[in-house]
Amino acid sequence: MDVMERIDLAVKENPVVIFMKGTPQLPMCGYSSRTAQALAATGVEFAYVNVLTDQDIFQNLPRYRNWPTFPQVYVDGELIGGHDITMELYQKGELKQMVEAAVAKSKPEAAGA
Amino acid sequence: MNPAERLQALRERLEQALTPEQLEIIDDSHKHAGHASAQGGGHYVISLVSPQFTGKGLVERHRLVYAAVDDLMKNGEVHALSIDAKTPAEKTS
Repeated sequence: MDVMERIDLAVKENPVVIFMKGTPQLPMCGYSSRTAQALAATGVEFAYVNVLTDQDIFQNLPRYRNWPTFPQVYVDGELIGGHDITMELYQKGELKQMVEAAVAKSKPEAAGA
Repeated sequence: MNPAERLQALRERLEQALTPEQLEIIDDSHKHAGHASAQGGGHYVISLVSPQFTGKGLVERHRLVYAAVDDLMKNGEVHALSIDAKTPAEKTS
C-alpha cells in the first residue's frame, strides 16, 4: 500500500489518532508527550502512530494535510492541529467534547444500547 | 546561522508574510538542546496579532505561520514552533 493510503487509512479508521514521536507510554519529544497526555486526560481511547519507527510516514505525513511538524492530531478524519491547538482545545474543555463526539459517531450500533 | 541571525530571519519572514500588528518571538531552543530528534534546529515561541487571521480557524492560522517560515524549516534552521495567532479583534477583547 502506498504511504499516503496508509496514512489516510489510519486517519479514517480511527475516530481519534495522534501521529507522534514515540508512544504515549514512551514519548520521545515534549510536544508529543504533552499532546498525548491531553488526549489521555479526555478518558477516550485513541490510536497512535509512532512516526519515529516508520520513515515513510515521517517523511510524507507533512504533505498529507499540509502541516509540517509533529505531533498531529486527527479527530473524525479532520486535522485538529498539533501541540498548541490541541492544548488550547483541552484547556477550553472542547477537546473532550470533540473526541467523545467522534467516538460516538464511529459506533452508531452502540447508540441505543 | 547563529541564534541571533536565525531570530532575525524568522522575524523578517513573519513581518513580510503576515504584516503583524504585534510580534513576539522567544527563543526556546535551550529547553530542547540534545533532544534526540531536534537535529540542531531551533525551537521558538511565536505570539502574533495579524489582521490576516480574521475569519480563519486555528489550523489555517498555523498553516499561514508555517508557510511564512517554510524555507527555515526545510533547511533545518527551525525545528519547531509554538504558535499563538490572534486577530486584532481577539487581542482587544
